[in-house]
Amino acid sequence: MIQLERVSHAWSDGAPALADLSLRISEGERVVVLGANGCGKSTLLKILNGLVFPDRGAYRYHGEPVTRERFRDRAWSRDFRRNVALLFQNPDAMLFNPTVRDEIAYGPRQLGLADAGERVEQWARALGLVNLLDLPSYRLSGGEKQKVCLAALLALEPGVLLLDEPIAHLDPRATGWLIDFLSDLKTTTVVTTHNLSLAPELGRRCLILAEDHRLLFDGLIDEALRDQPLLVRANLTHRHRHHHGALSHSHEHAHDWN
Amino acid sequence: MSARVWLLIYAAALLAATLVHDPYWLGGTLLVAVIASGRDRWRLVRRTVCAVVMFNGVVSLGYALVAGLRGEFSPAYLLLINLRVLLMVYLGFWFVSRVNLLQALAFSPTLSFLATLACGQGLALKRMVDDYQQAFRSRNLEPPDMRTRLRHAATQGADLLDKALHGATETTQAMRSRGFFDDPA
Repeated sequence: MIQLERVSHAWSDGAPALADLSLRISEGERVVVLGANGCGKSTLLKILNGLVFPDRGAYRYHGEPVTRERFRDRAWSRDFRRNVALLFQNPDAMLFNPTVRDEIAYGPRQLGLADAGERVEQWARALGLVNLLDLPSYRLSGGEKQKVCLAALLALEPGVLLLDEPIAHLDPRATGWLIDFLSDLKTTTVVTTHNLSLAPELGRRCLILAEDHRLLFDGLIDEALRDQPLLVRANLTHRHRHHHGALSHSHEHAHDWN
Repeated sequence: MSARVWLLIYAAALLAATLVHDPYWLGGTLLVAVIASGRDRWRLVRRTVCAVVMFNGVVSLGYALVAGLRGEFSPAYLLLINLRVLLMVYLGFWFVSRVNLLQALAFSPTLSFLATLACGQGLALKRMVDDYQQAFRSRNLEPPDMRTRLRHAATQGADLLDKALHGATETTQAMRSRGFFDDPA
């Protein structure tokens, strides 16, 4: 379904964002992308969403190359945008309609779907947004905004859902809800996080990006989490002193933070 | 040549641009600057035009309207102010593309602080704009109509202002916390 072949991308100042990345993602897979800050997790999702294009290498979606030129074909572009949806880390970036109802209906209305209203009701119910439908999104909390963004994307029933640090701004209750919600979805999902304890809840397969922007690991998440040297290399664990009463010692370990 | 000398040359050039009132001289100087800026020239020209086109367009139109109604419209004056703005903005972009501003301002700790804060805020806002535009692209299955574009631009503008104000408040509090300000307010 998704195929990256030796993809590299650098920013305009020449700083690398991704280096020589190859991977395949099959339909229905749930993939978790782990990596330290700045290793290229968000860039990877933006490449998969056709917002950023590789400087070298190729990205294929269902065997078709995803390039800047390809997006000039409006029918193809509409199809791609409908099927591959990205939840941005900052939900404010995605919200611009006057009410939550308009926000969720935006995509279906653009497609001219006759059941746009029903889709709004359906996804508002599924995400617990019914009471917020007539409010402007700027009146909502961070967690509610994230749910609105998710509803707006899911109203199009995408085949691939890309989520950039979706738990970064959520409180524990909302985090629990999102994990359950995602695990019930049948959609292919690619989720970035640096929360190691929640990562196994978000998918079985794990990609770890190294600080040199290369793919360090591609395999089962349980294996990755048992491999302490790998986590150290990826800067996903750290070392500091612990105090247990009078005893003090230091070892590599992970803390989860949002 | 040191960054500080370039800063002095840039400041002198800006001052000179405000003292010249002949559009031919200003146009000629702009042409020389464009030629002298080498391979970057077209990128700088594009940035300059993008930066001034909206503001200058509105100001020029306003001037043309008011002066026309009063019967005082002067095409030479309109050309003069537009060329002056273009030249000053072009010189600004050329300067910051070639010279490390922080090095140039290293002689003054206060100016260095201000430049660092401004660069940091500018970069944060640029990242935010990039994110908003990518999210808008990602959510549009069809090219959006003008009304949607304007609504998105208004939301983005309001959020940018909000973020800039919040950033300025945080920066001020952080500077006060670190002892930069002496006032207790």
